[in-house]
Amino acid sequence: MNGNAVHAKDIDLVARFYIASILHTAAPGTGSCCLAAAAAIPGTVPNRILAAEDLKAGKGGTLTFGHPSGTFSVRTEPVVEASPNDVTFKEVAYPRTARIICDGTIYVKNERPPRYAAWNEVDEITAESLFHEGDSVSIQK
Amino acid sequence: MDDGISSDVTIVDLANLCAFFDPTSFGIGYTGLELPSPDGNITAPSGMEQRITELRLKVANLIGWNQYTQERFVSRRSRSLYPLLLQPTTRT
Repeated sequence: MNGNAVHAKDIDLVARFYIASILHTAAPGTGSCCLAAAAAIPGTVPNRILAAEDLKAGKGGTLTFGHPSGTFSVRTEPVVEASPNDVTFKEVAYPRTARIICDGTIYVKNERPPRYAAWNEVDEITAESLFHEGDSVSIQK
Repeated sequence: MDDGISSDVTIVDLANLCAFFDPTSFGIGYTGLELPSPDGNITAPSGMEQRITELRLKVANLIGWNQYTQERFVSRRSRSLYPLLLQPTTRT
């Protein structure tokens, strides 16, 4: 949908997700986990169309699939049992992006007239409340 | 399906309950490579939305969710509550 081609050599299968009466324009995380889990169980509909590799054999691995807006990968580690209904998973994981959305300095007053001293604490608490512990923000006085 | 076509389905409940079907056995000319409209509407092939609804109801009843009926599904307000997701897959 974004104009970038998805090449067959880069994916294991193609998937479309129908949620309610909507065809998802990409791939939801939970549905992608379920797809990867299903593909890791020998004999399922998604597993049947995989190329003969570890994932198809029930040994786990990474499933990369194409969706309307690109590709997505999910890693699985199944514990395969005799019945496909008894399969459990040690791991079903996919990557998420992370980025810094704020980095800066907050300036609060260090000195006030004595009658406004209580506001020093209020300023500090207010400034600190805007950010979580560990954020890259310093408070200058 | 109601028109006599048989389609294999795998149902897995992990993170989200999903039913996976093979597009090559789904009939109505479906290939599994169709794209949605930008707002996510199902545009192809003709009759796909009705087919999806039919299969979801059959899957729901198969796993014992008998409270879901065609009448309930037709209500757009109820659709968002409908806890099934269908996933076709194709070889490329």
